[in-house]
Amino acid sequence: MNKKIVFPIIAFLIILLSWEILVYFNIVNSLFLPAPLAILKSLLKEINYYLDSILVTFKHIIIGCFIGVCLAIPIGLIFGGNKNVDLSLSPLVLIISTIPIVTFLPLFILWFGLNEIPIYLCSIIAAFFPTFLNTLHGIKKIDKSFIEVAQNFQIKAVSRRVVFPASLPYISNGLRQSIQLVFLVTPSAEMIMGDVGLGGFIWKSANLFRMELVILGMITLGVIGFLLFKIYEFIEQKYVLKWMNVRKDAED
Amino acid sequence: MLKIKNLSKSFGNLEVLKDLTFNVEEGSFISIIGPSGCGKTVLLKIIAGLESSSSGKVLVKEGVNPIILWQDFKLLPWRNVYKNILFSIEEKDMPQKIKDKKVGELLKFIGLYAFKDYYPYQLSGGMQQRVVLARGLITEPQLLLLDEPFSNIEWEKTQRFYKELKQIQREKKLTIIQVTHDIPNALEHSNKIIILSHRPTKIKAILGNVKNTLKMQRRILKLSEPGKRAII
Repeated sequence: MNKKIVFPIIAFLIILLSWEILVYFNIVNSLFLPAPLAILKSLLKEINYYLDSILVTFKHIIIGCFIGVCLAIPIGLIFGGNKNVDLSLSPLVLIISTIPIVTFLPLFILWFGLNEIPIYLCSIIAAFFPTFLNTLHGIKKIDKSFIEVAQNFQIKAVSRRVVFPASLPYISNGLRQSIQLVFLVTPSAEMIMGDVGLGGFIWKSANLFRMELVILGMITLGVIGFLLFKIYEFIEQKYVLKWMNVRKDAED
Repeated sequence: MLKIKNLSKSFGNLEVLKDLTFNVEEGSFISIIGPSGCGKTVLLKIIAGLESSSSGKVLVKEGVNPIILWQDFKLLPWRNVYKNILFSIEEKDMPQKIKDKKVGELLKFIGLYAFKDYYPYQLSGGMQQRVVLARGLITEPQLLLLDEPFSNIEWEKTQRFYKELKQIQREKKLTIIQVTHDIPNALEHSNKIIILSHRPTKIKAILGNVKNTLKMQRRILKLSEPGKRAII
């Protein structure tokens, strides 16, 4: 009996049951908090729209993440390797990175119209900054002695053979933060735009006062996020943290 | 092989090395003995060209790239043992098969062939030190700079490594400069011993023709203590 799996499942079922009972006996008003069975019923009714929305949100998250990260790592490496570039541009980049990303939407809508582009842009920006900042920080933080070793052996491709692998733990940390931020920002952007993805699903349902669908959307986002993070943790453990164990301890 | 003339090194206001002058002949084995913190590692770095001198001359024989075996190993943690040893010849212009063969030979030499897929964090200090030795030797260096290279390795293995090093020395005219606290081994294997003072580090004594006798050991111990006058 694996406690780690069985206990949460049992707790979850108990909560679900209590929830259903509270609504059934009208202790909680079903208008304010629909019962689990009602949610299930609506899910089955709107299954196509629901699945469509999930797919769209997925698209926004994955593509945005991919583009953002693919831009962030090389640009981070450039800033990290070039002191003048770093000094001149990093303060500006830092300031822009603290602007709440969804506030860019009005500007993007003006520039690109009422379509999916503003959402993608928000997603890309959300993916970009954490990875960029962590990559930059990582390059500065890597142990200089590795560079000395490379110098001693007259290695030419130092960036590829030393700097990049040495900064992988930091880059990986940045990736995790990027995924978190993209996951925060994308559904919000969808909600503000109001029609596509799970954000749009939630917003439209709320306008029609179909709260059971709103809660369904929220739970779905929670589950997707949870799965994404678990998958990322697994990949990180396998390819990055393998040798990092002692390194991290050594730093502490 | 190496000529050092009036070498001084300061880090800002901190004077570390002061006016060091000594020569190292090709094929010789020099031990440098001095108190901790007197800048022995800095000296090795300057000889290897990784650190600049503040003044003075460091003349290394042309075409020679001094290889350092670091005291704190500096193995690349993201590479396994095999790839760490390969690192130093990875960019060299020779077929991969030959590189692999060389790595294999060195792995057997240090007795870690079975551990070639292990990562540094899985190895003991002594094992890591051996990998560092292999990584240096695979480049077939002409000048080897050892920074307390065997401090973590058991006596028998240390003796064996010294024996092998001296054999390589004879066969390939390898010059070795080691920084060490191990006075008996230094006396046993060196042609010349240089004793350094506390910071600002000057040369206290240069002893040639040394023999590993109790008398010599005591003499060196006394010399490497603070407050003694210099004898050349």
